[in-house]
Amino acid sequence: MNIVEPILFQSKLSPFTAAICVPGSKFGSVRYGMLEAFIHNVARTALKSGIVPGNIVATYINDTILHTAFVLGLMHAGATTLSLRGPKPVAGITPDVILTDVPGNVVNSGTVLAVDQSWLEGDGAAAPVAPQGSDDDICRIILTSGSTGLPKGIAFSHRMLAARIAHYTYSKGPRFAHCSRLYCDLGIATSPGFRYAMALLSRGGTIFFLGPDPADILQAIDLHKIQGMATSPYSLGEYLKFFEADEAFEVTFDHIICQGAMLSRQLSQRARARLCQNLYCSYGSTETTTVALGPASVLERVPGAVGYVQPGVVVEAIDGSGNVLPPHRDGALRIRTGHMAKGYVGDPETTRAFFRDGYFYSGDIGHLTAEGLLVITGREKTALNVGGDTVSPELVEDIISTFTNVEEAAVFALNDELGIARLFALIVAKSPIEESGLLQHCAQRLPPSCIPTRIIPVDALPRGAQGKLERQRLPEIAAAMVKPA
Amino acid sequence: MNIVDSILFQCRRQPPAAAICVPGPGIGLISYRRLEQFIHNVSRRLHALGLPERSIVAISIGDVIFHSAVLLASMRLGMIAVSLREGEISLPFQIDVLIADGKRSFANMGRVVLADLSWTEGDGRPLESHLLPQTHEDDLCRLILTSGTSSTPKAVGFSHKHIATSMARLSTFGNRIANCSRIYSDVPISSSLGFRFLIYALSRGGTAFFPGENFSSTLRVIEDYKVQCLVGSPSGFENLLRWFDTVPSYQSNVEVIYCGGDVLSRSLSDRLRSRICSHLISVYSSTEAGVAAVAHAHEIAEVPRAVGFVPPGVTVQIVDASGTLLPPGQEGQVRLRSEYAVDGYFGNPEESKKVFRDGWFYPGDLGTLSAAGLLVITGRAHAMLNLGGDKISPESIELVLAQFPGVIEAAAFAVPNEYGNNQVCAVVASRGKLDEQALRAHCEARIPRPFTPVKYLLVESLPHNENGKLDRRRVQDMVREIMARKV
Repeated sequence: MNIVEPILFQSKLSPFTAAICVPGSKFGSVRYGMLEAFIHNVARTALKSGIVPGNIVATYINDTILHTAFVLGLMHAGATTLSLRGPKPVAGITPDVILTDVPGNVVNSGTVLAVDQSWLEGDGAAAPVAPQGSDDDICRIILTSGSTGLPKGIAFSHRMLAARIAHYTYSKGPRFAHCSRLYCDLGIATSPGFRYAMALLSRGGTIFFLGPDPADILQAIDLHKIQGMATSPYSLGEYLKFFEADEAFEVTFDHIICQGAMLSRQLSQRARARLCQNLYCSYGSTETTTVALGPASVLERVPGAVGYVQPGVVVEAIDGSGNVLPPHRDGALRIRTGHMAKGYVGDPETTRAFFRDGYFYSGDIGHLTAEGLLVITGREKTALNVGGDTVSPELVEDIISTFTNVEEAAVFALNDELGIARLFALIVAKSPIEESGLLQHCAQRLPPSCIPTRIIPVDALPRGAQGKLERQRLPEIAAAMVKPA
Repeated sequence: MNIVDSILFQCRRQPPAAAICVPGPGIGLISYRRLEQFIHNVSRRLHALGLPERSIVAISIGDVIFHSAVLLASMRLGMIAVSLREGEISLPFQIDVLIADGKRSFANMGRVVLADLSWTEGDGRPLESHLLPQTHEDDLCRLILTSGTSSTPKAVGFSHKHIATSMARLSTFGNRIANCSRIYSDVPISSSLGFRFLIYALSRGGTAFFPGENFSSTLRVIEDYKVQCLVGSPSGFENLLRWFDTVPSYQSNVEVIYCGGDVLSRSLSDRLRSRICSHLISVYSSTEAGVAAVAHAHEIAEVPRAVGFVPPGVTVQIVDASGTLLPPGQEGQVRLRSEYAVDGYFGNPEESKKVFRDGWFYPGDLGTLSAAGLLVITGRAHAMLNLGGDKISPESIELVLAQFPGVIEAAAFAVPNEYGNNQVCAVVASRGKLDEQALRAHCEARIPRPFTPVKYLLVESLPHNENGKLDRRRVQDMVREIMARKV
């Protein structure tokens, strides 16, 4: 089955229901009946323009509704779509065609086609789509977040995507299972953004995305009776700040799903108190799909807990020689799911490093509890070596974040002039922090090796598209802040 | 308590929430925050007019949201507000001022003040408290005009207390009404039904929706903003149903329908319930006495012309011409007494005497009341036509028909259409042959749309009784005979 078929089916059942809504944008919203016409018109124009099934067609289109209509139309026509976040294609993946509404900026060795609204126009009749498409054809390449450095592509077949969407009936909890109006704070180009959109559209619901002005979505939440929100901890914090500052807003969410990074205890508690008591944390990756999910109220009690392991998912903590560790023993985590990726597109080397023996090695360190709760204690790569002691920056960051007026913190190690690693902390604070008080606070709670030697206040921490902390950028930011002094 | 205070309370409680929505090019959508500012800014303008308390303020403003702001501000200032309906040109009582948007003209209305949207501008601060009158809950604050679209209307006056109690009663007509915060009223705020639901939605912090510039934008808003409750009359729902029937793929998400104004026919009840919402509440009500019977439509569907059960606080009796109480099941004139009824028309003792007698209100209906309290309306005691909620006297249509060259005499009466709603049918006696096409055009130019005859029967003469008056019962028989012959 072509992955777009369920959306076309919903278009027949409820043509008048809003499919995609981007408050304040040019289109505002598009109904299923209109979306169906868009899909057929884009598919036909694409085939007429020389795009053939199997082509990799990258899109770099600003308007979310236009973008989504193109992605769906192209997938329906049998193309492999790829949403770019910048005007340049990604290393290792050469698109046959790039479609863009800003053609001047785009660089490609293949074709660049300028597109506009005229592609959406037409009689809306079904296009003569390649009938022999297979379920195993690749329909979508999703770029994983750049937190490891360079973006990598994950390829999805129609079958894999369908399986992951089906997984959503239980993997995101009972409230999401009944949700027909979801606001996804993550863009359509991200893996969760794309899959939430496909999940909502496949079930005939309405997916809401952020428009040019955040004020519009804030009004839409109540007006459109949006039931759920999917967001990252970083954005959750931004919404929390807004709602805490304006007490007049009543928040009417039925549930919030937070994913992409660890949710701190403080943010979790405040978000539950002000935004929505039904806050869920989801842990997973583009490579594996959702691995664990749990109510924040439960996870808050266990430091590092990210959720209960999903059915059909195997998570193992292993030691250095590859032996599976018993519950409660920390080790490198490896994951196996029924519909995981086989590797990175055009990058066999990185693929070999992360995909081995049928497992995906996530790079996280953690353990399982006897109840099936997955606890992440650090990342193999982020784990710092400070004077011979292994330090988990996450642990130190959690402690610093509990200090009065500290909003968030990022900890990293830099070698001093003697070649000894020293711990640095970047902090975002509401008001100036008294350094000695903060250090004392850390000393009471952490072993000596984990106490930062230097604390640098910054306005914001560097974050990727999904809100993940970009740890590789921390030293340069620190250097820039320290130099003028 | 001033009834508007309950709305201002919601404005403080949840300023960003949507208060009133009327899709279209006007104001469109207003939050509680802006509504509060509108009320205060308009209050300042009204105050500057120097009107004494209890002045009668007539409002003729097309934009529903602006109209509501002027209405609420007037009521808040202790004035008595009356909303003029489309086509209203004169009133049976003296008003102190007419606030108009200048789009319509009025005869003999006295002082006219033109208002535009600049009235809503300002700093949004409330009037200083010493400028606000002390409201007593028994003070009149609202007049609703009833019936008589072409004859002179009658006005029913409501106090703050009356509005508050009749609103509180609304939530007892089914828990779905109590649970609704998003209510669409197909009838305007000039009517008692539309006004009551406006206040009901706003004083509970919900959102009141009214028809937009066109049908599709209205439906879009109902769908997108998850409107829970539809309020209207059988004729309004017939229009809605016609659209639903032509677009079978449209799925309705409405949770409850509240239908009043005329007897809900079996056909309309079945079709509304099967197509738009199975939870349909039928009410028998009047501006004068409020709801006098209510039921879920499915409960009473088996009994032809049943309108509902008599609720607490209301006594309904069926009496004969001499005022003697008739036993259950026997047909007679309906009269009622209700804690929610007024005791006369505003400034019109003559008309009041006709229908308010000895503590009873006579709505002019014929009916039966079962021992279980089920009220059935079998007909009208006088000739007023009820077209699914739109009421008109046949004489006013007959007057227009008679003006057409060649017409000797005409009779207008109601015939149910396929939805069970009444439509006007005209029987015309003429000298020589009439041009039916021209007659139709003549009527359409002079009679508002719901009242123009849909069918014309041409005859040589009309039957009269011994007093020489048109015999309406025999006209009906005559028509039935003609129709039968045609078939």
